[in-house]
Amino acid sequence: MRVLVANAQAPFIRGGAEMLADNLVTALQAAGHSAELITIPFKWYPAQRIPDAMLAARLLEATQWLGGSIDRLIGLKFPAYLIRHPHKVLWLLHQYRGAYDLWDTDIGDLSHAPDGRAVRDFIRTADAALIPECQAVFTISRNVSARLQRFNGIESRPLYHPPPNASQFWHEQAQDFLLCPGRINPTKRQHLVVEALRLCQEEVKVVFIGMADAADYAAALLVSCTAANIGHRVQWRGRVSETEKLSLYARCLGVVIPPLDEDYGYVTLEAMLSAKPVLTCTDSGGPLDFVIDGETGCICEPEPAALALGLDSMWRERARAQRQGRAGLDRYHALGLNWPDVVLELLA
Amino acid sequence: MRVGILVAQTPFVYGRAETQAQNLCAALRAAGHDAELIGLPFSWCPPNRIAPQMLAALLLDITETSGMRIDRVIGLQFPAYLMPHPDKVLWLSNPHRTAADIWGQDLANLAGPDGGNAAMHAIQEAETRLFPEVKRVFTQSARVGERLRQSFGLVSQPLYHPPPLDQDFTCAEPEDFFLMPGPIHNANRHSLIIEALFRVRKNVQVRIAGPADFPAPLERLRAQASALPSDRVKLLGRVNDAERLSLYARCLGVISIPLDDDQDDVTLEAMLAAKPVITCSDSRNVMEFVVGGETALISEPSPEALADNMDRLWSGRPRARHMGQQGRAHYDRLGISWDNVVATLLG
Repeated sequence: MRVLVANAQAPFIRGGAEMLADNLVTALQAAGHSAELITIPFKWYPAQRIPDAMLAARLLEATQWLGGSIDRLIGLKFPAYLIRHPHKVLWLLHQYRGAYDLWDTDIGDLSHAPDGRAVRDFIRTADAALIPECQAVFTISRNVSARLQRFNGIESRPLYHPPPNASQFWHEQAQDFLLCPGRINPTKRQHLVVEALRLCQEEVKVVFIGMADAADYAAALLVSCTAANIGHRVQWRGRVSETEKLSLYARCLGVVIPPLDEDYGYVTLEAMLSAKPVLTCTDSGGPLDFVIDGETGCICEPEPAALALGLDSMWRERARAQRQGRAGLDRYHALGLNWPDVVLELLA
Repeated sequence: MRVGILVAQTPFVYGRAETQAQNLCAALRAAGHDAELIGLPFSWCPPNRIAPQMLAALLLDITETSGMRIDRVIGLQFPAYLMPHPDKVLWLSNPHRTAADIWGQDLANLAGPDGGNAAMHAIQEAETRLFPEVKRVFTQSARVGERLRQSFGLVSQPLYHPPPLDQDFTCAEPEDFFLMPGPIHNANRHSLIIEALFRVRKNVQVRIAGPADFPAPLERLRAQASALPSDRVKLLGRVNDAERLSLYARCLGVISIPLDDDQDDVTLEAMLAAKPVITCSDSRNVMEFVVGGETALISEPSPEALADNMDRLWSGRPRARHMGQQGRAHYDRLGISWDNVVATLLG
C-alpha cells in the first residue's frame, strides 16, 4: 500500500511526536508498504493565526503522487490531520488542547489570547465536522480517547505503541535516587516533586532529566530548592544523551511521573521496561493506562503531602520497590505492544 | 544562526533536489548553525489544485517557532519558498523542475484543459510579488539565472555546490567503457547516445547508470537499443554509491548531454574523477564547467558528431587521460565548496 503519514512540525523542536511519526513510517516500510512522512509547519501564536494554518492544511493536496493514487493517509497531530484524503485514518496524538481541556486553565494559552474564544470555537467546529471524515479514528491512549468523547462526542479506540528504543532498556541494582524524567515545564509539574521533597521524612534524592523548555519555570524551581535548603537532594541534569538516560533508568530506585493530564507518556513505559516502580498522580492521564496502584507503583493525589508519602515509602521499602518494578516489566510484556499490530490496525 | 530550509515534499519522488537540501542542512550544521528543513507537501497534479497549494504556503507562519526566532530562511523549492519570512534568500534550481520532468521541457506544457493556464498565471503572479521581497536570489546554474532575468528582469548570482560524496571520487586505470550517469528521462537524451552508437566505427561501449522513475522512457530505450550489437550498451539501472564511485574511477570518459537547467553534478563528478567529458553545445549547464578541447569534447547534438567524439577518445587514450587531469585541475580552481555556499547564503 502507498501510505502518507501527516504530522505538524514545530521547526527545531523534536519530541515524542516526531519520534512516533518516524517510527510509524519505519514500521510501515518494514511491513512492505511504501510510506513517507509529510509535515506542515505550525505556529500556534498569535491565536488569530491558528485558523490560517487549519485552512492551509485543507488546501493541500495529498491524494495523488506522480505515479498514481495514494492509498491511505494517517493523520497524527493538529492541524495536519485536517489534510483531505478519501481514505484517511486518524491516529490522534492530541487535539489542540488549548481549545479543550486546557481552556480556562492557567496553562492553556487560548483562553487568555485576544479572539481566543472565537479561535476555540473555530477549532471545535472544524474538529466536529472534519474528524468524522476519517474512515477510522484511533488515538494513542485512553486519555486522548476520553477527551475526544467528552468534548466532541466522537468515539475512538486507543492504539498503543512501544516507546522508541524499547529493546535498549535494562535494569540493575537500585541506587539511592529516584528519577524524574520529562521536559522542565509547568505541565510536567516538577514543582510538585520539589514541594514534596520539603515534606519528606527521609533524605529522598531526585535526579531530574529533560530539557528546560520554559526558562522562567526552570529558574523558579532552582530558587525554591535553594530556599528550602534541599539543593543537595536534587540534581538537574538537563537534556542527557540516550546512553545516560538508559543508565539512569537502570540504576534508579523508582521513577516519579507527576504530570498534569499527560496524553500518553513514553516515560511510564520506559520505567516499566527498566523494571522500576512508578509514582504518579490521579490526574496524570497517560501513566494511568499502565500503572496499577500497589502492584507496579503508586498513584497518589496531586498534592505535595501525598507525593511525599509515596516518595518516603519507596525510599524506605526497597524490596517492595524492586518487586513492583519487576511486576511493571511483566506487565509491559503482557501488554504485547508492537509496531506490526499498529500497522495492521491502521491499514485495516 | 537559526536557519530554516524551505523544501517541497513531493511524496515518493526522490532526486537530487532532496539530496541537495539535506546536504545544505548538514553543511549549515557543520558550520555551527541550527538548521532544519521546513517542508510543505506539494503535488503538481491536478493542475487546477496548484494555486490552492500556493495559498496554503502563503498562510503559514514560519517567522518563529515555539517562542524562538527563525533568523533566516533559504527557499529552495516551489511552492515552499512562498512561505512568508522577513529574512529570506532564494537558492533556485529550475523552479518548476517537477513540472518539467513530467510534462516535458517547459512549464508551458502545463497549459491544458485542467486549469494549467490558470496555474501558470498564478505562479507567475506569485513570483512577481515574491522576488522583490527576498534579500538575495542565488541560482544553481547560470542558465537558471538567465531565465530569471528574461522572465522577471531579476538579477541573481549563480552559486554552485559540490556534488554529494565529492571527497570520495578517485581515478583508476581506464577500462573499455564510457559512463553515462543520471536518471533516465527525456531531458537526459539517452536515446541520442543510442543513435550515436549505431554510427560508431570503433568497438565503443557505454554503460548507462541511472534509475528510471517512470517506466515508459526505459522501455523505449530498451527497444531502441535492442538492435545494437551486444555489449555496445549496458543499462545498469540504479547503482549504489560504491558502485557509482567505482564506475567513475574505471571509465574511459563520461557522457553528459542533458537538456536541463540545473547545476550538472555529472560533469563535476567526472572532473573529480579526472575523466574527460563528452557533451553537446546545447547542454548549457555542462558548458558552465567544461573547457572545450581541454577538459571535454563538445559537439553538435547529432548522432554523427557524438559518434565521432566517442571514437576519438576511444582510440586516443593518452589524450583522454590528459583531458581528465586538466578537468580535475579545473575543478580545484573553481573553488566549489559547502563552506563557500554557507558563507554566501548567510552573508
